[in-house]
Parts: sequence; structure tokens; C-alpha cells
Amino acid sequence: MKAFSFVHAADLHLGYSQYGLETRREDFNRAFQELVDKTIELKPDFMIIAGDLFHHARPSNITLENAIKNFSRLREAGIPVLTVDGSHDSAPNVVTGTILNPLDSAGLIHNLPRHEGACWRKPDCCYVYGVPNFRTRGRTEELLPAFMEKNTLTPDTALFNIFVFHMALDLPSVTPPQMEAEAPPELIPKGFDYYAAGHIHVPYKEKFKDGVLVYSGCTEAVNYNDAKVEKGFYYVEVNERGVPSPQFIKLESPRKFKVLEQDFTGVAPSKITELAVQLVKGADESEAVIIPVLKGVLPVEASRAEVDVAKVRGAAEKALLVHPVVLLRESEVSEEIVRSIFESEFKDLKTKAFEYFLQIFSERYSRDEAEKIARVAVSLIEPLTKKQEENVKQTLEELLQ
Amino acid sequence: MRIEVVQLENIRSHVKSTVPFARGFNCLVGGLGSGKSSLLYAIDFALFGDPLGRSYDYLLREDADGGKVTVQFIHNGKTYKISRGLKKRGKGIGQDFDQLKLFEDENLVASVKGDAVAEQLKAITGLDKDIFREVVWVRQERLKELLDATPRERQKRLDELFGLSDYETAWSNLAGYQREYKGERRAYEKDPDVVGMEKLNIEYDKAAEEFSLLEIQLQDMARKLEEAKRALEEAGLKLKKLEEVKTRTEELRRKEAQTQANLTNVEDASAALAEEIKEKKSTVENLKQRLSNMATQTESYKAKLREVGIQPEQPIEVLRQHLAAFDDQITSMKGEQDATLRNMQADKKRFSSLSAENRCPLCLQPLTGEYKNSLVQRIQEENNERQGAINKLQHEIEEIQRIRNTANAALSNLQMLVPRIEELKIRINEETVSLAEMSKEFEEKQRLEKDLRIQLEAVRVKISRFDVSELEAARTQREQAFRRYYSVESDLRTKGNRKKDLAKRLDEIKTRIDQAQQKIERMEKIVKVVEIIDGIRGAYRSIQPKLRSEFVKVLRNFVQQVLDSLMGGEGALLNVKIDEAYTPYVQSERGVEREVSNLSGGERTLLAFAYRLGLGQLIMQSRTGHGLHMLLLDEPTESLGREDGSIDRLAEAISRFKAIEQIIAVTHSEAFAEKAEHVIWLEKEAGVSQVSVRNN
Repeated sequence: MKAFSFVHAADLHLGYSQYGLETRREDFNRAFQELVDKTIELKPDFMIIAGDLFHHARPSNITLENAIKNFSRLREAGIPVLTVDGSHDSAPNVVTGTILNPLDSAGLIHNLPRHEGACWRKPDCCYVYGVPNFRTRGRTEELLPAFMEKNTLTPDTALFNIFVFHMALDLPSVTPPQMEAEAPPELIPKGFDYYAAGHIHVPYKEKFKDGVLVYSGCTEAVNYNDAKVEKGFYYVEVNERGVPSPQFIKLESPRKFKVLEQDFTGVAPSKITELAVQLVKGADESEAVIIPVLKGVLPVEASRAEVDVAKVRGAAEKALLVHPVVLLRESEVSEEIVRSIFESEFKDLKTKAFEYFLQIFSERYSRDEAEKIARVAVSLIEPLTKKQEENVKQTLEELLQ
Repeated sequence: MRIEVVQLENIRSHVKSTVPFARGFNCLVGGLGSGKSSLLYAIDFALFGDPLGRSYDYLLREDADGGKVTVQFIHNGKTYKISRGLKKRGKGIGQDFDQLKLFEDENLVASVKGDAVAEQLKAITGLDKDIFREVVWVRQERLKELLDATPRERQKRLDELFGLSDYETAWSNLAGYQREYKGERRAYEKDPDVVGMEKLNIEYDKAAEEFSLLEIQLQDMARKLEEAKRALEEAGLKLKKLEEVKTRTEELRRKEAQTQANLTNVEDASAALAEEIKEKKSTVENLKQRLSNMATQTESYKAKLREVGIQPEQPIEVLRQHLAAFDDQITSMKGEQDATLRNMQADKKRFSSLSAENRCPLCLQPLTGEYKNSLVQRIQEENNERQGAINKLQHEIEEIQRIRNTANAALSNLQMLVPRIEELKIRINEETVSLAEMSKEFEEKQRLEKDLRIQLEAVRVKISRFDVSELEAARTQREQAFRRYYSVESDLRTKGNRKKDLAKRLDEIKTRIDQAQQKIERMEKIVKVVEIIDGIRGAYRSIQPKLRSEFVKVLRNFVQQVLDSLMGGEGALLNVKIDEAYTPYVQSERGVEREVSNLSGGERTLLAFAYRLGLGQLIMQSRTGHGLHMLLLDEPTESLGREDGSIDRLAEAISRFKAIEQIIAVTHSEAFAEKAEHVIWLEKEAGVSQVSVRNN
């Protein structure tokens, strides 16, 4: 085979007006601009965007226009762009499509899952296969094998084979515990040399199956957890022997985030406000986004609402924005009471009913959903028997959320 | 919950009583109308306030305007006190809410408002009016009520008490909501937005694709416009240059014409000058001829002068002196002549006188005729001589005069010629100078002519270099560039407008899709919710028999336990069975099932008590999560006989029944009371209840 190179990026989230700020939307666009600039400079043979190119399935006109401009630049530079849909820009349901389709029709990108065989080939170089995003684990486990059956995988051992997907793999090193992994690693086929992944915003590169699994990370901070992560993409050179050397290229344009995490356990809300204001003032920096993260357990009978978030928000003068995240917990109900409720030998009717409902609904729904429905079923009894229609309606509407 | 003290003021037969209670089995004993049941009514009133029937007539002492009950109880280690008052209002009796107070460890936690107090009380004890009246307080007439009821009725009532009927109600009421959602879903299914979603989506894809293509084209065209603009500028520049060249050429043409005119002028002037020079030359020649002639004349005059002996090469004045000298000579000769003449004349006269006079004039001596004749002869001879001299002189004068005249003429001519010669010479000189100047001028003209010719030639060469067709080509080129620029620009504008339209359209479609999307999502959720509601309803339905059978199982255990404990192992072993309608059966050791109606009165009471206790325990447990703490029994010994020992057995059983913290039983049976740990005697003295306490 011949030597070649490609760029692997993901999670650009174009069109995301984070914190309701137009400036942030421009930030995401600027990062993309830089990615394209750098890509054109690197002159790779093609570019892979492993999902979440856009933040919404149908972006605004200005976002669309900017994207088209940059894609035309790539097209003029002779760099084909291969995409898969991500969790944000995939079709929300079977009926609606994704913006990637018209862009594909317009010849600006090649949306892999849309094409027969879900693949793209560069003769004598590589075979690239891409799968769509299925949103949830349940759907992924059901639909991914079906997709791969319909679009037969034909990796060629004489070529360099790339598998593109946008999913969090259920590997401890990949998916943080608070995040739901959509796919068990077994679901991803073997026989590929490079697994170009998206969805995880932290750059990652490890051996996987017979190749290497690479998450390129995001290009801008989509949430404050991304703040500390380096933003960029991978430039991968593959030599004649099919050995890839992925190199992480850092982007310069992403906005500066300052995350100030502090544990305020036992501190009175008014004091927390004061300390948080000082914290923000001390970190004030021109055009930065400052995220004070207020953690800990409040003193007994203190309420979260007593922390003056507006004051903290207004504490910086130079920063673009102060966005306080209040994770303070109010003092918990004593364990003793909890135990007395749940551990008595003969449980009260509600508990019993809940257990029974849970058992029934677990047959049809996931554990979480079954729990939720069982709780609703129990909480509905009183309003239903007392004909509190508003209450019933509200509870049912909450189920609709 | 355990009652410590009950205080009554003006309640039935009580005027002012304080009744203490203890943990365990309490027994209120007294005769008919001693006010023992009133105490239970008073507790019910103090806790919940509502009358048992329609009025409070059964509570207030007949002659009193107001009454009051205070119950002090302990629950979870805290002491509570609740007070309620009654007041006469006209004919009726009402609650005196001013007296309504609930204290927790002497702190007022609720007052005045009945609902607030009820809520607090339920929060504290888990008891509400219904549970209290149905479960805790077993009224005299109610003990066997459930047992005597038809199975259907029993099931209904117990389902209600267990809260199972709530599921039935919930199941039935939920159906309405389900129908509502189904209706909403059907409406959505027919919604044009939802139905047209696929079409809308295709439309969006098309619009977005067109937008993309248009955007690409626009970029391309912007570049083309840039190029066209550059081309137009270049063509314009070229044209401008060529037009400048044209202007310059026209100037050259004018210069050519002027140079030509100049040349012609110079040529004409040259020719005229040449002619003039020619004339001038001939003039000079003439003048020179004349000068030469004059010189010859001069020489001849000079020769004449020389002939007369005048050296002509002398100044004219000198020559004039010569003439004067002639004049002087002539004058002197003329004088000589004159003198001679006069002598002659004088002689003539003397002669005449001598002739006439014969005396000598001179000597006055008379003159002889001969002498006179000799004298006249000599005078005649002398005069003849004198005449010859005069003639000679005349001749000489004439000669000199001729010479003088000749000299004078020559001199005059000379004198006249000299200035003329001078003049001629000057003129010749002048003419020669003029001729030289003219020749010089002529030469200059010749040079100028030559220069002009060169200039003209150069201009003509320059003019010949300018190509009109090139200018025409440049004009055409610029025209084309202009047209191209404006065509691209107009195309760009049209496409730009189309883009604006498309963007608007995209927004519209997006909005519609979003709406449809929301509807579809809502619809999908509704489908899910309808399904969930179905599930919940199913669960409500299915939970009833399931819970019931569980309750029945537990109930049976409870009843069996209580019954065993009531039977104390002495009587016949009664195995209790309870069916789904909560109907108890008794199975003998031999396995024969008997209905309750087939039991003896005593057995029935015991069973009823056990059944009631078991139910109470279970209902409390199911409703509040904890068991029965307290039991109020009104005349439990009814239909029990002393003879068969059943009263004792029941009393004994109750006293052994430690599962309940406090049991307060009202009885007229002293035998029953004997078994109690704490006995309160009530007696009526002069219409007023009196309380005395005895601990066994």
C-alpha cells in the first residue's frame, strides 16, 4: 500500500450558544476555522469528523453558512471530509434526518452511514467504515449489529482499515463512571487498524482489538468538565507498512475557562457567597469564562437558595462570564428514619405497593424507568382517589418529560 | 402512643374528672351510666374533634354551657397534650376552637385550626379519625360486626380499610386520563404537521442542499466578480492609455500642420530673400560701376586741374585758394587794363584838349602845331601801344579766366563728386552689409528649413506609429469587461437574494419541523405514557388480590396468634383460616372447617376479638408502617359468660398481650377487670361520676 495521512477530529458542536451567549457560538465556529486552517496546512489525504459536528440536528443559518464556507475551503484544497452523525447532530427520530445529509448531497462532505456499504475507499491506501449514533445503549445494542449486517463490513488486510463511530465505549479508561456508555466494546468489530471515535471529549489513544482506539476530544469546552482538557485533533500519518503515527495537534483558539472548585461543607450560605465572590475576583481574567463550582454539604437547616448566586455571577469585571455551578447539598434526612421506614418487618402499604409495582414494571422497563414508573404509580393513588385532577395531570405530564 | 391522663370538664356525667392511665392493660369499670364509655367518647373527641353522629349532644353535660377534654399522651418519648372545648350555641352545641391546643413537650405546635391540629396529630402518631374509629377504638356494637357481615360487604369494607379499594378507584379514575391521552394522540396522528413531517424533512434536506450549493456558487462568483473587476480595471487602464496616446497624436498632427506651415513660410521667406539678395547684388554692382565712373570723372577733373597746374591731390580749400589766385590775377590784370585804359583815356582827353588847346596843359606854354602834332603823334602812338597792351591783357585775362573757369568747373565738379563718391561708398558699404546680413539670414532660414523638415519627419513617424484599430480593440475589450462584470454582479445579486430567500425558507421549515418534532415527540411520549398508564392500571388491578392475599396470610397469622393467646392453650385448639373475602373459618383438629356462625358465643367473641385485633394491627401496619400501639375496647365481654371462664380467658389473654403498649377496656364486668393491671373505678354519685384508681 501507499503511505498517506488523514486528520481525525470530533465533537465540534458548531452552533452551540453556550450559556445563551452568541460569543460562545462564535467561539465554536472559530475553533472549527482553526481546525480547517491547520488541516489545509497539513495537506492530509482526507479528514474524518467522528460525530457531533453540529450541536443541533438542524443548525441555524449562520452556523450552516460558516460550516459550508469551511467545507468549501477543504473541498478546494482537495481534502474530502468523512463524517458520521453524533449524539447531537443525529436525527432525533426515524422520521427526521440530519443536516449531514443535505451537506452530503451538496458534495461538501461524505456522510459514511448514508452511503451504501457505509464506507469510503482511497485506492491503495485505506478503507473507512462509519456507523451512525443510536443515542442509547439499548438502541445501540439492538440497531448497531443490524446496521452492520445491512452494510457489510469489508475491511481489506492489504489496506489500512478505519472504523468511525460516535459512542462512549464501556471501558473504564474511556467512559467516566457518571457517563452512560452506549456500547460495550464487544459490539465494535475487529479487523480495523484505527478506530476513529467521538463523543468522549478527552483525547484518548490506546491499543484496541488489533488496532488503536483514538478519541480526538472536543475542539471547544462543551461543559465545564471539558475546561481542563486539551482541545485539538489528531493528525495521523500512515506509512507504507500500514503503521499509523497519530500526532495530537493542539488548537489555540478555544476560549479560556477557569474552573474554581471548592468544598464549602459546613459553611453558612452567606459566608459561601462571600468566599465565592472572593474566589471569582481572584481569578478574574479578561474574556475568560469563570466557573465557580460550589460543593459540599450545607449546615443543618440552611438552604441552597440562600447562596446569592447573582452576586457571585456579578463578581468579575473582566471575564466574559461567571457561571456558578451550585452542587451544594442540603443536610440529609437521618439514616435512622430511613431505616425505620424500610426495615420494619411488615412494610407499609405504599412500600409494599412500590415493591410490587417495581417488580411488575421491571419486566417491561429498565431498572431506572421501572423505578420511576413504580414511584409514579404509588404517588398517583392519592390524587386519583381524591380526584385531585391537577395533581394527577401534573404527575402524568412529568412522565412525558 | 400511650395515654397518660384524660381530664374532663362537663362531659356527660363528669363535672371535673381526672383519669390517669398506665402502660399495659387498663380497665375502666363501672355500672350503667357511670360515665365509663363517655371517657372513650371524650378521648375520641379530644383527638379528632368531630362528633360521632350529627351533634355533640352525646358529650356535653346537660346543664353545662361549655365543656372541655384534655388528653395527655406519650409518643416516641415526647409528651403531648391536646385540649378541645365544647360550647353551647343557641340550641346546638359546637366546638370551641379557642380552646383547641396541641402541645409538644409544653410547646404549642398547633391551635385553633382543626385541620392544622389533625395534620400535626397524624404526622406525630400516624392516626387519623378513620383509623382511630375503625381500628384503635373497638366500639361495643362493632366487635362482631365484621364477622356478621356478608363476605362481599366484608371484603368491601376491609379493602377500604386496608386502602385496597383506593387501587380500584385509582384504576377506574386513571382510565379517564388514559382516554384523554389517547384522544390527544389520535389528534396528533391526524395533525397535518405530523403527517407531513417526512415531506417537510425532505423539503428541509432539499433546501439545505440548495443552500449549500448556492453558498458554494456564491463564493465562486465572488471570486469571479473579483476577477471581472480586475479585468475591467485593466481594460479601463489600457483604454485610458490609448486615449491619451490618441490625444497626443492629435496634438502631433496639429504640430505637423504647424511645422508644415512654418516650413512653407520659411521656404517662401527664403525665396524672397534670395530674390532680394540678387537685387541687392545688382544694386551693389551698379553702385560700384557708378563709383568707378565717378572715379574716372574725378581723375579727368584732376587731370584738368593738373593741366591748369593745380595739384589736385590737395584739400579742396587749398584748391579753392588756387581759384582765388586766378581771381586775384584776373583782378590785378583787370586793374592793369583799367589803368592802361584810363591812361589811354587820359591821353585821349589830352589829345582832344591838345587839339582844342594849344598850350601845354602841363607847362601851360603854348604848343606849336608841330609840336602839337608831334605830341599828338606820340600820344597817338602811345595810345596805340596802350591799346595793344590792353588787348594783350584782355587776352591774357580771358586766358586766365578760361583756365579759371576750367579749374573752377573741374573743382566744382570735383567738389560735387567727392561727397557723391563718399555717399556711394557708404551706400555700397551699407548695401554690402545688408547683403551679408541677408545672406546670413538666408543661411539661417535654410538651416531652419532643414530643422523643420527633420521635425516634420519625426512627427510624421510618430503619427504613423499610432494605430487606431488598437484603440478600437481596447474599447471593445473594456466594453466586454464591463458587460461581464455587470453580468457577474447581477448574477451574484440574484443568487444573493435567492440565498436570503432560502435562508428564510430554511428558518420556516425548521420552525415547522420543530413544531412537528415537538408534536411527534409529544405523541411518542403519549404513546409511551398511555402504555405506562395501561401498565399502572394493570398494576392497580393486579395488586389488589395480591395484596389482599398477602394481607390475608398475615391476618391469619395474627388472628391465629391472638386466638392462641386468647385460648391460652386450654380450650379446644382452633385453627383459623381466612379466605380472600377476609372470611374467617375455624378448622378443628380433625380438619373440619366451621364457619364462624357455627361457633359458640364465647368462641365467636374470642375469635371476633382476635380477628379485630389482627385486623387493627395489620391495618395500622399497612397504613402507617408501624403496628397498633393502643387499643380501646368497649365492653369486650359481651356474650361471654362467667360460667365457661371465657371472660377470664379473654381478660387474661389481653393482659398477656404485650404487643400493644396500652389497652384501655371499658367493662361492667368486675371479673374481667380483675385481670387488668390498672383498674379505674367509675361510680355515679348524685349524677356526677367519681373516679378512683386501683392497681392490681
